[in-house]
Amino acid sequence: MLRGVVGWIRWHYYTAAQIEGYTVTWRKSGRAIVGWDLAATVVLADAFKLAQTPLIFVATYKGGEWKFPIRSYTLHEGHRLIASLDPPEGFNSWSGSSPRRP
Amino acid sequence: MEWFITPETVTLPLADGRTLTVKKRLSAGDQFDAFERMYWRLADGTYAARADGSLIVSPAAMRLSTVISYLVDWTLTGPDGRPVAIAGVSPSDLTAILRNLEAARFAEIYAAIDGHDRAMARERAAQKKMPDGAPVLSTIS
Repeated sequence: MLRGVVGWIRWHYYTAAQIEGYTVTWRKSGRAIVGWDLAATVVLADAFKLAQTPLIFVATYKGGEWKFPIRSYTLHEGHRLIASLDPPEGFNSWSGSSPRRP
Repeated sequence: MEWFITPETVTLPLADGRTLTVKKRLSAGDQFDAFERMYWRLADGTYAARADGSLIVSPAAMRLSTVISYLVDWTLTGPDGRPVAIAGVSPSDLTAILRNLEAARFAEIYAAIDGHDRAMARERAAQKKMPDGAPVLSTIS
């Protein structure tokens, strides 16, 4: 599981939303990761940009950032974001236990 | 001409082989934000105004605002040789980074972006003169 305080959802170079208190979890079948899920609270959002594609979830860490393409998402009560993600860019192993910092 | 912006970038060359990645066109929101940044503000955040109530435009802020509006990324490195990351940073953080450039280098960046802005304005003006669906180039046979 990845946890973070602040993250962003980007549409190209624009910020579509700022999110807080995010968690990224991954589902496994055997040793292989078969899906990634994001849960977070949306604190700032641009409804138009959030309706566009492609959307990328960006989570930063010291010295870099993970970028997860968003496959689909739903907003609950207008602020609780639940999203299905593709593997982060640069993540080549579907049998690893977590994304590695480069 | 489309009604909504499709985000696209173009690469502008600088001296020494460095490049800027800039927005091809600004959205209305980008322009609103640019206008907001161009006016003098007082310490309490309110706009400085002349006696007649007109707001005061800052020449320096105009240049800075134009650069901030367009700039998406670059290949510049800092004094330690490491890349200076600007992709996705806030306008205030980008302002702080730009303020640390050599003055002549900022002028070079502004000139490149201002030239791009003028080129886009010419392109829009040319599009307005053409009816929808008209070919960009016509041939004479």
